[in-house]
Amino acid sequence: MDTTIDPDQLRRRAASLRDLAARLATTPALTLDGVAGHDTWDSPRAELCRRLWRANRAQLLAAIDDLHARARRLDRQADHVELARQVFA
Amino acid sequence: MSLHGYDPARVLLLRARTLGSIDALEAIRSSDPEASEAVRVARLARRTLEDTWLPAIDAIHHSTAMRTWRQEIGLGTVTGVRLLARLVDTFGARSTWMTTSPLAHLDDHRLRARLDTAVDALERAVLVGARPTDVVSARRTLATILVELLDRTAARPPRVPGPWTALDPAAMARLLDVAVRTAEVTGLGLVPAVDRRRPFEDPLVGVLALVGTGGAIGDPLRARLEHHAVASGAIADAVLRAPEVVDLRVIVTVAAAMVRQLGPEARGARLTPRALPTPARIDGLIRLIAGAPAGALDLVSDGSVAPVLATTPHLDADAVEALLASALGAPPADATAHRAQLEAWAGLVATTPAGALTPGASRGIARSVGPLLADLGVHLDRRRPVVLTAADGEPVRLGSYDDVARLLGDVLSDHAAQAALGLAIAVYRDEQLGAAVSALRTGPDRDPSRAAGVVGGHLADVTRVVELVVAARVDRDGLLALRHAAWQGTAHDLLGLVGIATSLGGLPAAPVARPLTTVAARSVAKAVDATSPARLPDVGLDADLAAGFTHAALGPPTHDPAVRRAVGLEHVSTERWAELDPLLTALAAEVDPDERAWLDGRIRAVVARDPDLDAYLETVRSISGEDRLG
Repeated sequence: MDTTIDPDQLRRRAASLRDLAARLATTPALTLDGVAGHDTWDSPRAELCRRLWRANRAQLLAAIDDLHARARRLDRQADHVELARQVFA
Repeated sequence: MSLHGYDPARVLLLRARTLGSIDALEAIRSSDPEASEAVRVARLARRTLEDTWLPAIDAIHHSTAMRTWRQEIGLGTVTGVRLLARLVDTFGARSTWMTTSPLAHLDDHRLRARLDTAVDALERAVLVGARPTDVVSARRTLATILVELLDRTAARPPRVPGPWTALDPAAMARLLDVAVRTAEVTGLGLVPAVDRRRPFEDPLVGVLALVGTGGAIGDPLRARLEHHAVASGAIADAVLRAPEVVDLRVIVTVAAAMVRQLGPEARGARLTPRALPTPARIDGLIRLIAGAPAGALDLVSDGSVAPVLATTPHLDADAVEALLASALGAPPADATAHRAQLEAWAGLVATTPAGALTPGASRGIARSVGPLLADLGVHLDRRRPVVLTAADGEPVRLGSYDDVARLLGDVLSDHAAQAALGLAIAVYRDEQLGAAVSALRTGPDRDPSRAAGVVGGHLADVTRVVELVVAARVDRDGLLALRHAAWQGTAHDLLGLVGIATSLGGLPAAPVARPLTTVAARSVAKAVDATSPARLPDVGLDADLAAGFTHAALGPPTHDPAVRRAVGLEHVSTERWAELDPLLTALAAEVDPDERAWLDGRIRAVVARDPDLDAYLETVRSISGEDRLG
């Protein structure tokens, strides 16, 4: 365990990742499929758009989860650094 | 939904949401390495929206059907679009489902291939005399493809070429040929006509609309267009059926070709009566073009078209009048258009045979001459060519004094044209008098000692225009309509102006006496009744002598302040002398008569801007007897 790392900085990074995840989660892009259905437009081109977007949307949702996971990992790392510092103090 | 298509209101919301998503994803950034994957995913998503979604949505958004829908529901503002998007978003509002072209799924390349097949099929059907139903079917197929091409072209951002530009000129010419042939067969009654309410079902309408979307019309295509325009009425009929979708340049090209056919040269070259375009069709095109001054100017600027327009009796007089008034009388859009207007005037002066103007052309010219009078008044001199300066600084030679007078004389043969010209002169005189009065009452020329120069300078220009009219019309008794209009149109009373000048103490002064007397004596009616001015031909030597006079009269005060004071020109601004100095020096050094005449015109323009200088030059001309040479 590298105890020279600043735990506050790790927590700031975690907060920043969570903020980014929140921004992604609230982007209007994730509501696009709700207004782009067959009752809005219907054609082979529209179908192609929807198919492509399904992949992008899944990636975006996965990225949000991934950001939260990375944030949690950074928080845990900060906790460990603080604990190590207390033990070796 | 079983049919391919879209809900226009929901598409508006979709477009707004897509644009918002692109902006939001664009803002997803982070310098943290842990966020790099998320940023990459956001970038990929944004590119999908930009590269795939937005073009597809915009193809619908900019389509003819969608534009028409927005117009019909009055959705012209951003606020309106937002309101509608909110209605759809919050309350699930819907609009009528609009079906889309069955070709919408084809990319440009495949659409082009489909076009070639359709052209082949229609050509075969027309050539072999297939059953009318087969021709109609092939015609409809081609028309559908053309509409899809047009919609895709309209959906392209500016400067991005539409798919039709992939058509080489030969393919485009063939498309035009087949469309024209189909229209001719239809015109003969061999095939059911197209519903007039749906002009795009005629492939020729679609082709003509396409021609205008590709920027400049290339020479080969222009030649083909002109050929068909004069060979049959199909092109003109198609334009007149759907004028709003055909580019103005195409309409002007078609009209120009048809008008040329009415000219004497084309008449000599024609072999069959079939080649004579119907004047009624030309009238229709001319009326269309008259509604757009830029197009009208294009047509009238064409040296092979203007004389035919102005002299052909078969054309509708009202249409020709409207066209010329639009071309020559509308305020020019820019400096280039101003020069084009002056050149069109020069073309009319140069190419219209004496006594050949039709009544419509006379009225059109008379209606549009008003804006020209201010320039003419400054530059008119019997012995010089009339050279005006365009807004871009380029000189344009209108013609000799006598040629301009001859054109005006022809114009004045028509009573309605006389009235129009009389009104124009009245307005011009009115403006000059108004400017003089304003300067005397409120301007920097309030000084009574300068009143004479102010009044004289303003009125001298009017006098020159009136003299031109007098020179234009030998038959002075025939100018009743002009005299009547000129007097009726005058708001300012000459006597009132004289009274103002007198009260300021300037009238008796020498410089004003002569110009004012000239105007009083030669004001429209009296001049027309009583004056018979000598008419000298505008020869080079004479014009050159006039340029020499200008130099002799203006050189000393320009170069010597003491002379300025002696001749009462001490109030002329330093800037004005600085303008004159190099021009006079250049005039003294120039030997080419044309250049001398041009420089002389420039000097006279500078002089005309200063009432004192203008009055001075007029006085010197009078005292020296120089003016009587003219």
